[in-house]
Amino acid sequence: MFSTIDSPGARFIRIYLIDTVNGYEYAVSTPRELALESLKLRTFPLCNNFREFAFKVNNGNWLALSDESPVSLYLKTQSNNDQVILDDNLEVGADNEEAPIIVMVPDVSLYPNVPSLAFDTTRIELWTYTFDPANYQLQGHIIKTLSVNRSTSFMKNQPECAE
Amino acid sequence: MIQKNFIQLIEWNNDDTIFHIVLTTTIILVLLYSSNNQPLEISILVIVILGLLNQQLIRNAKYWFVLSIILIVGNFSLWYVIDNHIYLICIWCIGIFLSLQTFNPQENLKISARFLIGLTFLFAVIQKFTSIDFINNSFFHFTLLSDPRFSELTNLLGNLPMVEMQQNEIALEALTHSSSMLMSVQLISTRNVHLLAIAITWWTLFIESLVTLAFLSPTKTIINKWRNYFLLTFVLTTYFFAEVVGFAWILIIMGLAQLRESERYLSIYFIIALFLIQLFRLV
Repeated sequence: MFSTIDSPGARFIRIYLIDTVNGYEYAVSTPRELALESLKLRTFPLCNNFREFAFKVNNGNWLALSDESPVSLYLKTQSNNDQVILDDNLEVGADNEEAPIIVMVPDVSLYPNVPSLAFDTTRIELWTYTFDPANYQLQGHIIKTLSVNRSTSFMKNQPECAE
Repeated sequence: MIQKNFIQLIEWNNDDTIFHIVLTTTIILVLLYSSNNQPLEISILVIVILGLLNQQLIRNAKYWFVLSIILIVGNFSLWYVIDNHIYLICIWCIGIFLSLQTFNPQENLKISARFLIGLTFLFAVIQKFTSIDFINNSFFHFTLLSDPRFSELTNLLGNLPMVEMQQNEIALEALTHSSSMLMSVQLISTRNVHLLAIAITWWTLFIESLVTLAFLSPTKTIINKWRNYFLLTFVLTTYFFAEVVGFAWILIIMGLAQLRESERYLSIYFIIALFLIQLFRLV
């Protein structure tokens, strides 16, 4: 503590959901449900912790929502939410033109109108940063990375991390 | 002279009372700063209330054995992420338990406290001297620019406007956000911040090395006689900025516990330091 910049707090995870068939790659936020696993991975960047994290990401229910506000998430749980009238007579439509935010949800059945995100591979990158006191620049560096196919079983296959 | 008059003026300032204050403040410390784990907090609350209601209980070795076990078992599942001072608090509770098993608990706890402080600082100094980004000042330079706890110091002595401090925080968040594509971000600094980082880095190394030498050197050496002043200086200069109250408290409590008979008049300074650390949070 108070001796080096490199600490679990200075490490960060980047998650990519990849649809290799259509050539899409989605950068997504770390789900709240994986906060503990994220902390464990940032503290101990062991390959096994990468695998555990990647398999949890792969097995999650990922949806592309129009936005992540509590109101929007609530509205998406309603089965007939094409037009919902709020107290102040403000009309909220299910469709809007904002860029989708991809989130992992605990229960996909709560979002009957939202199709699951199609992806077949997850890439997890663990990063850290170094500070250059000469030009005050904070430079990100990848510590380790792991790509796991969604069809891979956690117990049977042990994909290796790359440094 | 004034300091020695404390011994005559304050009746409570004897070995047994100081020992009792150490035990009481330790259970308060355990209650406030030994865990972030909710089920554990409930168990701790129960055992601490029992100890505060029945003061004889905290002089019982079994009480400290139970408390130590609760702390170890409760924190075990998150052992890789808990703060350093939680480890120290656990070790200190075990130390109290062991000392209460002996014929002279006060004297044995004094020895444990002195070596625990000395070794804590020894490991801290080794880690700092072997860390390249600490030695080349970049750790504190970066901390001054990005840690909100230091923002007022950076603003006041580093001459960096608060708006630019906030921009640094935003830049850091932008780089570390999990859906970010950025490879690097530019922070804003000044020459004064750079000089301040150098000053803090070398002051930290200096004062921590002094505390280490003073606490681990033989008792009759001159530096050992100055150890309490070094420790109090470290605590007050460090925790005025770095709000790690749990760590400050455990160091102060152990400092209080290791006072020799001839140093009892210093107990009042340690007790004042306990309150000052809480006051610093409000400043």
